[in-house]
Amino acid sequence: MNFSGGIHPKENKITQHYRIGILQIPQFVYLHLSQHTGKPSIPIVKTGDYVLRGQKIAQPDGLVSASLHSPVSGKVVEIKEVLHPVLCKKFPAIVIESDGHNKTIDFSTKYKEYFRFSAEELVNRIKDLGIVGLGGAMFPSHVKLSPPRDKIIDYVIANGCECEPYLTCDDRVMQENSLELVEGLRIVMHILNALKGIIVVEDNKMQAYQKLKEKVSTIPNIEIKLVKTKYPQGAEKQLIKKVLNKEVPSGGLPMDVGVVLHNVATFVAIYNAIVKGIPLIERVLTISGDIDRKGNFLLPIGMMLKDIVKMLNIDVNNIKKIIFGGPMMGIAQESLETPIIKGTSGILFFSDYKIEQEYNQCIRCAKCVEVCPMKLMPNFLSLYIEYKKWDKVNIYSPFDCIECGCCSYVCVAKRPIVAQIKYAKSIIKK
Amino acid sequence: MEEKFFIISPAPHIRKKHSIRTMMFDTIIALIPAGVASLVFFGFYSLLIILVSVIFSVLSELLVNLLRKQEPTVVDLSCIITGLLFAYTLPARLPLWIVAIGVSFGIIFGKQIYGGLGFNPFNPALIARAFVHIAFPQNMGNFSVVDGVSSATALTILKHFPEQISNIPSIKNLLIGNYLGSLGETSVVFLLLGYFYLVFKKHINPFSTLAYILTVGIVTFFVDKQNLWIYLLSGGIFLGGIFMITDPVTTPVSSKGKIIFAICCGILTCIIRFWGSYPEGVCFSILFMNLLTPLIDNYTIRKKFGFKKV
Repeated sequence: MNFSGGIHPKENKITQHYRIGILQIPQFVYLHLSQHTGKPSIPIVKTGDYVLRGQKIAQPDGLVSASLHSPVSGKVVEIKEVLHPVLCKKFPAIVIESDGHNKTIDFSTKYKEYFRFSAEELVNRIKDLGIVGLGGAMFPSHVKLSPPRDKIIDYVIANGCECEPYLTCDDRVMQENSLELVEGLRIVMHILNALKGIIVVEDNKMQAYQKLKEKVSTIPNIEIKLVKTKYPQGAEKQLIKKVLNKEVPSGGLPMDVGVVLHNVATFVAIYNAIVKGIPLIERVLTISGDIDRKGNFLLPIGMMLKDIVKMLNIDVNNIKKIIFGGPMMGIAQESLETPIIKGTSGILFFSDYKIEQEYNQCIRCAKCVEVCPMKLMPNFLSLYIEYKKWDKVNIYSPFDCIECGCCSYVCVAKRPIVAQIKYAKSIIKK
Repeated sequence: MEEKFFIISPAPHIRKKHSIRTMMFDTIIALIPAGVASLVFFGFYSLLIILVSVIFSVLSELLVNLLRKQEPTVVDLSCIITGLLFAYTLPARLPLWIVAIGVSFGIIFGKQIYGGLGFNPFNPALIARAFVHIAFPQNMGNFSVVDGVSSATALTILKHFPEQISNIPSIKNLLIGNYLGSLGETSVVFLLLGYFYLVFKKHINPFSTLAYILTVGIVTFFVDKQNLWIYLLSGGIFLGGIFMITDPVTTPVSSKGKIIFAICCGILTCIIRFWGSYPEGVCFSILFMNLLTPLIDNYTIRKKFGFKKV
């Protein structure tokens, strides 16, 4: 069952056929203490400590938080304030100077035969190894994997839609790590005691689809589902509607309709954590846009944007705009002094960018109403937010907005609707 | 190394390549076939009416821009649509000075006085039409194309001179527009071309037009079954149904609201036609419903995703 609304922006998946590459180890990595939804982690190392690759350097603060591990071996230089790519302000990060040897801790693990262990043990292991959602929201995975007792999970969905233009990292992960993905899915199904696993792929990623189809041909309870490309299909509520025709209630979570959903890369990270014992210290991301050396790269978390630019020989003098994430929901970065975090799915460089500062009066064409996947009325939200009529704003449910940006994308008057809604949410919360 | 700063702006960083201007331009294209048809059936003078209407529409918009010391808003092309739509509602031999006065009134008092495009509660072309209708009833009632002889439209005949019913043109002529009536109203086929273009371009909700025409059809069927086709095909049903009840600014936002709006317009049109003192009711019914648009909007808020019935 199709979800209502949505748009079809130009896909621009230029890097679709670029194999996942790697870069040199940077001299410094900057690991933000806050790279997940929830409370920042608490550092357990101090200045001057020597750490190994994979060693835990910060532990979670409370339930909704995550651990942090060093992606390199070397010395902890300091804990200083560094620009955060999502919060766009300076936040404390652990700075580690690499010694260039990349000495790792012993990854060997007793959890290889995961089916011998209880859900609780596995979830604790996932929590210990710092797994968070890699699709962008960075929600700690162990929280999603421990639903309350009264919620019965029937389905586990691996989200391989990657509906954002330009991004191809999930596509490459599905092709090159298909085995890890399927096994990761089985681990999660074991943890949640779920009946069925579904991997959803959009039809602009046929190679990934074929590859996965081969892999699961002998597994009866895992299905690969091909869906027609449409933005924002990768949004969890929309995907559940599309695949299972279930509507997650307003303000609810997928587990309310018996579903747990992760990004495909998260399943690979879970597999690596449980079977190989490797914590989340690196991730695949797409580097694309108006540059020569595009591609998909496996990079250590905490790598500074300026190091990436240097290693790829990108001439930033021609670059006007840099986006972390996709062009629809990604965040523009003002400086090269910004490190990547666990949720960074891509870095896009644009050389010609016109800022549209001026916008017109809403002419009520209702194009935003047609495309809103949450069936809201963005035109009224935009109008009432502009005139600060907060009681009116509340009538049009701003908190149901998933900030996909379809409304701003189609607006003929070029109104920054989704930015206005984000602003309203922050004001009303106060 | 000197630190370079990059442009920051809120997401999304890509936008669909269209604007108010392209949308209005598409509407102008959709209006062209009916205009050409009026040239063929009513002659060169109808071109003059259209030109005067458009030119004075642009001029009065510029005048307001000048008075309000703002950037010219004519670039959004919406005043050209007002000019065209107004011209299409006029009898083929209306004196040009009335056209000029009417359209200027529509732009200034129907649109700009409220703050311009997007703020106007009424369709400016219809405000202009209602104004000339009341201010110059003699000229507006004369649909003759031959000087000195006054003739009536099919609707006027049905309402006031039922004995002249033989003067009403055939269904075929009603369809292509070869009969006496307002400039752009008459050629149903050419108006439909514009309708399909706008539906194809996704600028209008196809169902509101259908709802309007159907409502008029059904009510007419119960009141005067014999002359159903004349009531539907002559007069402004198609011009109003395609270009005026789909005007984004002055009609409800949600599709449900649009349908309610269209149905109410249809019923009102019939009430004015059959029981009111005017032979035609399209203009006033839409203007009246424009007034109720905010009310309809308030009661047709969409049910959001994940909304559960209790």
